[in-house]
Amino acid sequence: MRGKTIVQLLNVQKTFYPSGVKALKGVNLFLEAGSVHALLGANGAGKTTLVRILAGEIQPDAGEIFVDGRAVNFRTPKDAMRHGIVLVHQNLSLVEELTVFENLFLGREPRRLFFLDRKKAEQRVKDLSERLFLVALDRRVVDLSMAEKQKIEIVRALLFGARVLLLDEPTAYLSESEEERLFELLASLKRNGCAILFITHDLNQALKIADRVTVLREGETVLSEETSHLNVRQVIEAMGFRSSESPRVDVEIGEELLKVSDITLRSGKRLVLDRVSLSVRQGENVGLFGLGNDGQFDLLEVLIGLKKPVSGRIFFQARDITRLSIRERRRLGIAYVPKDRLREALNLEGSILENAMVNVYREIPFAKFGLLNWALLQDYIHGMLKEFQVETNSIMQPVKTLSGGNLQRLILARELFRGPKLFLACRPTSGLDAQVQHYIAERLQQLKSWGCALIATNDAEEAFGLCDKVLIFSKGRLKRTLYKEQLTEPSVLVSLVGEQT
Amino acid sequence: MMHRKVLSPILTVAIAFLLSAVILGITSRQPRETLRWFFLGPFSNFYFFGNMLAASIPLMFTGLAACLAFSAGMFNLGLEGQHYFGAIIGTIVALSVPTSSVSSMFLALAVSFLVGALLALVPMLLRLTLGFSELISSFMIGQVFIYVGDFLLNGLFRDPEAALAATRHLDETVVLAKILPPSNLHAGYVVAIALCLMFTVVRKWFVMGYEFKMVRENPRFAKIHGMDVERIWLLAMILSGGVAALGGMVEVLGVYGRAVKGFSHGNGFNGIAVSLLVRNNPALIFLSALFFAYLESGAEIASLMVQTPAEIVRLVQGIVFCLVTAEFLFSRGERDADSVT
Ligand SMILES: Nc1ncnc2c1ncn2[C@@H]1O[C@H](COP(=O)(O)OP(=O)(O)OP(=O)(O)O)[C@@H](O)[C@H]1O
Ligand SMILES: [Mg+2]
Repeated sequence: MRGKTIVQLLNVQKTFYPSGVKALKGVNLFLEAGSVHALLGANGAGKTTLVRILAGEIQPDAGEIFVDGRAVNFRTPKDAMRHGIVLVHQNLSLVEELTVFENLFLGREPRRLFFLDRKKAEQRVKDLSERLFLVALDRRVVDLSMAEKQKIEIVRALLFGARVLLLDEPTAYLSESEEERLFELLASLKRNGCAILFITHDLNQALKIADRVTVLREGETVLSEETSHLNVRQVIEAMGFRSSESPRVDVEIGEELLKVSDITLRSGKRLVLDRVSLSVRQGENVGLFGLGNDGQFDLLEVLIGLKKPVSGRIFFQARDITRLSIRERRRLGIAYVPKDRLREALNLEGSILENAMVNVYREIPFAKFGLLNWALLQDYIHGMLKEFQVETNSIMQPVKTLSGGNLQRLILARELFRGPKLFLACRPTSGLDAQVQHYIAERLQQLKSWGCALIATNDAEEAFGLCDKVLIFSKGRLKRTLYKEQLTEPSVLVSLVGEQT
Repeated sequence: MMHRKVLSPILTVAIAFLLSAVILGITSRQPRETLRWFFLGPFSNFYFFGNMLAASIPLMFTGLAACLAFSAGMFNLGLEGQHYFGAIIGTIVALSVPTSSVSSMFLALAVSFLVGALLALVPMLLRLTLGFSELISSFMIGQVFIYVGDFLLNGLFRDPEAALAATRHLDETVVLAKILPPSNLHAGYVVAIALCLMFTVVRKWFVMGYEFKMVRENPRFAKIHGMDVERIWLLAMILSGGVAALGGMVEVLGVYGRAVKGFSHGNGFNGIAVSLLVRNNPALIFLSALFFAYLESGAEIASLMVQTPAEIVRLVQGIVFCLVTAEFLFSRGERDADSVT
């Protein structure tokens, strides 16, 4: 079933300037037709850099790339595409306002499409989307779930004639069932002779799905082996991690910090939240779990003040905060990590410092009489990023130069560093490598001794790993509460939700 | 990337010079003489030189005004109207309130600032309440008030003894001090530079500067992290309109001594180009304003000395305006497709 080698990389190196970061120090990799390859490594190991090179987005400083045995030199993504190599970014690049069909043909030469073989193109889209169970082509992308958007990107890649599919952390924002569907899709592509490379931080998943695993560590290939010859321990060691259990601390449950009563939220005609009530006490980490976008993320947006509910009240430490502004809520000790990290949690045009200081800059002693104390801010941010192991050369660098996982760390550092009383987070550990996931879990346990957390997720594993109590959402309604004793394994959540709907 | 950032303003300037030279050369009967006056005229004596610096004063104000709006991600296309109408109302108030010379000068400046701020505030409120684009409404409101200004100067407040549509002269003592007589250069130059430097410092060292930058670069990020985005937009527009009007008033106080119909002749629109040419960097606005003033005075001197039509300079300014804005739009258009995962 495995075919010939399509792509081969030899000793590929890449240094980024002006920071001088050696992202890749000599990487070897080959991709075979009809196989799935998993690319693993800690945050900042160089995974994204590698696939971007392969997709022609950036050029290597040294090393060779062979496609079908011939040396190639990609200058643009178009060059790579011509050889059938397509990269699907983690932050999908769909245009939200357009329909599925329009998105599929974004960036393609309209000449060929709309005058010559439009019929044929439509037929192909139909075939493909039927085979891949793509949603109705005339729906607008805004209304779709993450998994569906991802699928559109893949269909689009296939329309371009991709036979080498590179997926950068495709499962970071997917729920378990969505992951299942994605992997089914990958399996069918594999049977058709595609070569697939995907990046993930979930080792079990990698070992289950992939035929071959390559591990990067600080820009070097440290392991490249058939999965059948590997176990999780070997992979963890190759990545340079100590394997560890997720901690869980028991603390006294304290006073009620948050009380939400009868929150109803509408978006146009759609009912997003339907009379949701809940209460969280100090010492509790509560998960809000739903299979897709079942209102759990919107609830956090309501709590921080980003969305206005049509009815209902929010009390924080017995004070009605329903009408307070975002700034006032934050000042009370509420922290928030939004779901869309790139568009909402970061200012991608800004520097690392500018992004990291956004929660503290207006406070004394960082600002006095409207004047910023940059020296003090820099010191403070240095300490903060160090504590959360954000690897930076200089905090004056553009934030864009950080790797995906380091961006996540920065966002979490900013919100967690000052010990919030109420920590609201959407998918806090997605995109983090195992080591940092562990660290975040520890911080969340510490938080319990003075505050509480609400964690919205569609990933049962995450809810299971971080929370003492999970509230199950389905279509905007709170269906059921699961307590610690009932949380024996992640699959409990998934099966329960299935029952409820 | 690095290269483009530095090169293209220089390129724009070079193209502008070349085009003006070509156009002047073609339209003139004595091309050599014309070009000599065009390029060297502004430096040939203190009078011409001072006038060139003076011509850059209103451009610094409107350039700074455009820059203020851009700094928070807003467009203020009503600069021309704010500049013109603000100055007219300021003059009228100063003429009709009998006070001492100093206080009537400050009164005029304050009133013009308020009027300009108001003209810029309205389009912003329209955007925040009704969702109208501030780009279009600021332009339209600005245009309307240019006509209202003309109407006032032609009618009610026209000095009956004047040959042209203008108000009465302000009191001799209510003018800004001249710096390089007999040229037009006046104390407004120092004020303009001081304001630009002030804003440079604010952008770099003040909370407000940081908030402007964050709101410009990603308003949603700013909002989620507790900034009052709408308030910041309003503030930027108010300051922008106010400074534009202040520039008009300073022009009246420093050069004309009264509000004359059409005195602003495009300063507002050129302000946008002045700011864009130096990528909205307030510390460099004096340079780009000087460049525009150089083109203008060069052409004026050439027309004075060799009898070429002075309107040519408008054409050149138009071309520079197109070059700069086109470049700005293009660089906005090329969305960064960089991945960050
Ligand atoms: N455009 C850039 N400029 C400067 N440095 C960069 C740039 N892109 C990446 N880097 C650096 O290169 C290193 C590798 O980054 P890369 O994005 O490849 O990591 P990664 O393996 O994808 O990590 P993650 O799991 O966190 O996404 C990091 O140290 C990062 O800071
Ligand atoms: Mg990455």
